[in-house]
Amino acid sequence: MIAVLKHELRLYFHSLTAYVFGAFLLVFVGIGAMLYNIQAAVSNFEYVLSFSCLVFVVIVPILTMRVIAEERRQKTDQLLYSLPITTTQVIVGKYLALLAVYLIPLAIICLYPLIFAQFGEVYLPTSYGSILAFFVLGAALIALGVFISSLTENQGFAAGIGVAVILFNYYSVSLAEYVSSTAFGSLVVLCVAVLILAAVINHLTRNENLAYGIGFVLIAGMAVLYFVDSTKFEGLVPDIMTKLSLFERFYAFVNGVFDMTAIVYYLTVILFFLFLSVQSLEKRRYN
Amino acid sequence: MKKKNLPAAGAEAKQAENRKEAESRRKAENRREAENRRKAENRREAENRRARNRNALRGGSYSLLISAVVLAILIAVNVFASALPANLTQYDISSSQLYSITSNTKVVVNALEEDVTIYWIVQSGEEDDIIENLLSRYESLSDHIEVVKRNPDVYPTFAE
Repeated sequence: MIAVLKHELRLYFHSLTAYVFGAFLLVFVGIGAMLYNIQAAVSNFEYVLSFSCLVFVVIVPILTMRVIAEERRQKTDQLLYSLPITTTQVIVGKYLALLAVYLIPLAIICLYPLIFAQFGEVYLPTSYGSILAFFVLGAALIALGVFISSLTENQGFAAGIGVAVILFNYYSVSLAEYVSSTAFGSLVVLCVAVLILAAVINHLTRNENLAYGIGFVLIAGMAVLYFVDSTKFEGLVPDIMTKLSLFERFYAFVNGVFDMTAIVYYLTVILFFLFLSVQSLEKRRYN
Repeated sequence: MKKKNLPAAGAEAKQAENRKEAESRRKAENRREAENRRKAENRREAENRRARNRNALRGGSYSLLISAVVLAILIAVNVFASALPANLTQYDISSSQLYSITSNTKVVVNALEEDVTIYWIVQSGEEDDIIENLLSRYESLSDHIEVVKRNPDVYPTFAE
């Protein structure tokens, strides 16, 4: 794990990736600090963070696009399989290297509230609470990026999908207002989700009967539930979209609530996507 | 063939015929062999494919199953975390202590002897975060306080 971590770190700092990532993050936070703290003369640093979390849409895919996709394209992933460490250790090593690259610009950002405190009254608990939440939010998005990178061997494709997914997550709360909140609409969306799940099952197991079986059972179950009690489906899809939003939970910190449930949510998202990345690498052993 | 070798021609022709026959026999044999080989190859390939599919089924279903289990555990952790009382999970870090209850309020609330029901009249989906946070704090402060949400769309005459 340490070997993978060292190798990845050397790779990031010998290429432009780490510098481009750090520069983008610092420029965006710098623009935010100029707009809010200097021009508008607001002493709340957390507003800058809530403004600049949009930058994750661009920089997280830049950072994570090559992490596994490039190994696959260059066929060096075969070396990873033959290493005397487990796939989990490979993924965790790579993820820790990404976190280290992310922490360096964040350490510089940590100085900003202290600098501003020299010139006025900055309430530091909110600032640093928000910076901590900003770190965990970014860490969750990086885990998502690692998973997307493990799905393809084309870097550009990984970056494109990553941008689309993170942008969708960013706007999912505003989009939730326009999504059909009727019971029937929710049923249709869930049926489509089940069909996608069945397609994934078919792709993974190469067994059509299993995919048809599971898909049919799930759809039948939902249909029965719909006819028994259709009020359960009302507003379900907008609800799910709001719950899944990573950014929405971050704004609670900006508003001055250090919400442990949000931290738990971010940690579970990290665990889940790293786990899926391991499964995605393991898939090449059997499929 | 030349005319003066005519007597020998018959024997030669026979020989040639024999040779041709042997050749065609050999060819047919070769063909049969090749066909057999191809068949065996096909069979082997089909077997391989079946074995691969079997592998995919075993590996894929294991992977899916364990992913589903992990997802279920993580959802359970999240549900458990959000079910904890607000004063354990949500800390006030705002500069004006916007979400904190002052000690005066705590004294009053702790001295309550009768049950108090706070009706919060709000449309579903329009809840204000600050009020929600504060009410959940009141609720967790004392057993006598209960907060009930009333949607004016569902109960239009409730406030009358």
